[in-house]
Amino acid sequence: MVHWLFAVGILFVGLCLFAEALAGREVWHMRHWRKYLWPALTFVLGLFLWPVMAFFTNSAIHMYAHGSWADGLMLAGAAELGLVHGRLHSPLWRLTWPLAFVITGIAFIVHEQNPWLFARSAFLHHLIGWTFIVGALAPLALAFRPRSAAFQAAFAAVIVVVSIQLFADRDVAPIFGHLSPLAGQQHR
Amino acid sequence: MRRLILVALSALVFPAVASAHATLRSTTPSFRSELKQAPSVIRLQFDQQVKVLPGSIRVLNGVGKNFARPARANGTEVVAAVRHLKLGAYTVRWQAISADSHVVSGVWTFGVQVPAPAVENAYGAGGPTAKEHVVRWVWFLGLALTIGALGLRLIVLRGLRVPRPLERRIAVAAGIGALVTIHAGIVAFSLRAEDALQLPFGRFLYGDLSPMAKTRFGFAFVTMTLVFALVLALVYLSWLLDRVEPLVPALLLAVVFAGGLSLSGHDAVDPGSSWKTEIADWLHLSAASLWIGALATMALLLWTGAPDLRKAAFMRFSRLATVLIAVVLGAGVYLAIVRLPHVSDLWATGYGRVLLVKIGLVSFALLWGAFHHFVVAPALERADTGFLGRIGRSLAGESMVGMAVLLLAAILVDSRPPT
Amino acid sequence: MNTTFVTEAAQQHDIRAHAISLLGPLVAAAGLVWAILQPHRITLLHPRGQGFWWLVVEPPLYVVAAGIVFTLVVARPLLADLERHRATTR
Repeated sequence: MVHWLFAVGILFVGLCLFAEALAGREVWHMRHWRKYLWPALTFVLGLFLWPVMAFFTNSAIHMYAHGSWADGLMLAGAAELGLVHGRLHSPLWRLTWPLAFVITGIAFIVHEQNPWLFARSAFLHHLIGWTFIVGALAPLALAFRPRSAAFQAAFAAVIVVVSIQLFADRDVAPIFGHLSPLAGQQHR
Repeated sequence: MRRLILVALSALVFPAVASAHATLRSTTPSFRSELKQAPSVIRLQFDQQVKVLPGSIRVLNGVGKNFARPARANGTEVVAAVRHLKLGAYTVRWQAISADSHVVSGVWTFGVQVPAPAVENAYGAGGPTAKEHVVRWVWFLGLALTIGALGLRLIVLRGLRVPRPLERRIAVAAGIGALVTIHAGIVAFSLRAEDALQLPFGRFLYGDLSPMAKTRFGFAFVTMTLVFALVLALVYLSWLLDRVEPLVPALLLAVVFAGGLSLSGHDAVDPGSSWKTEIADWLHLSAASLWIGALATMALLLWTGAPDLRKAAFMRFSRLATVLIAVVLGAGVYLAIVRLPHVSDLWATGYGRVLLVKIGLVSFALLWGAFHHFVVAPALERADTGFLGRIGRSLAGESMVGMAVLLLAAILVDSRPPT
Repeated sequence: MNTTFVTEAAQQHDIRAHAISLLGPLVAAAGLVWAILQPHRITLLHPRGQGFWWLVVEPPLYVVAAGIVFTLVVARPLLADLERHRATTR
């Protein structure tokens, strides 16, 4: 359930990034509020991950994973806000994005307790993890070529793909028509 | 893409690897329940199928005698019959094999006609270690840095023209304090849970911590994590927008919820505890955090970042410190009287001896503070740059003593007062 | 000024504006298709036995809402700005 809520937020961030890539940074920044939109949303999503970390304590590793995502999202959102507001100046602050992506990806893979084909959620956790790790190349390139529309579109694409993967995530449901007999009963 | 299609096809053709990592969904009896009648079975409900091990469920009394018969797995359920349990508190330790051969484990407590103990007092738990003391100390330091930096800006420097770079450095210090508070809290919670579970780290990662989250410590951990995440966001907002307003709710939240640290310790549940001791504890901790934290940030940030503000800040802090020390001493003396009914407890018990060292260090810090208040402050008007530099080092020294006091406070919060 | 260059730039501008205006509707349509394909995801259609959160969280409707909100709040003003920017740089 929480995955879906975060998926909506991440989808919105991805849409904004796409729109910024298409319109260009100059046009995107023409309205003051708009330049803060997706960095602020990223920061708030990170903030909202803390309750997920603190309230879901069914395993230590689950807590650590959600804590690392909260840290990563807040850091990346904060750096981006600092840059668009003019508080930070070095474009190297954008390296917080690939850093957050790699940390997030590793946490996704490590905290998934089952192998790829156990159930759909297991498959998607592994897939999301690798999407983040490989997708970190897009924000990494963007940090060095901040005006590249192609890299920005690639960055947006990674975010949108992750949101779709989060929407597809289920606790226990078949993967490619198969569900491990040990996975228990599937639910909504 | 081709690889993904291959994975998809192979998933359809071949059965998925039979593996799982189970999560506990519910238990009978439930965590920390007080039962009128002894249970005849212990039941664990998982989200997926599991296998049992020898001793998968153990029901232990206060001396470690096991009352559980061999457990059997039935689908997603593990059940063990229990021999007749007499009146008393019991600990259930369980473990089961997930399909991927990982062992998942957990612990909880219940009572038969008596209240169930907190899970950190389960049979087999070793109690706080030196590692826990250090982590709790770091937790205290984070709290003191947050409250002190915010207090310095909002109380000591109130109404003064503060240079922007100093404003930002103070916000960064408060933000680092909030981050340390959050992360030290996570480590402290993990260590406490690890002790209750009595598992090596590899297995602990998959241990069920939910019973620990339902204790006072768990409640304090959850609350402080959420509140300090909010404090961090407010401090960041202040830094980003160059506005001091967001720091006001940040300071209020940090001070109000600082009490979580003391409420999570032994003091809150031991004999003699009442709402009065809880308030005294909160006052003691909040005032000490503000005193030590503001002193440290003044010595490290203000002294180097805003030479023009040194004299005004010193005089104002001196007045604030007088009030804070009165609160620290008043609350501390009251708590010492409640927790140590006999004066001899001070040297006859471990708790008393740690308290004695703490009193010694506090007295040293107070003497140092008195020197600043009565000797340095009057001489400040005619002070030259060299003298002011020496005062900065002296303030840093006093704050170091304060930090040592916090270490002893961390040990005391983890320890049980004599009964 | 080279007229071919101006025409190409204008065309590219049109394509970009078109893509931005399509983003929101496409997302909303995707949510709608999802809702039709998997109506069981919308617990409001069969609210028996569901707890509060299961009734609040309606993933396909959230996707539709994200598309609509994006169109109204982000895309429309952005398209206006894009047009304004095009006019000033012409």
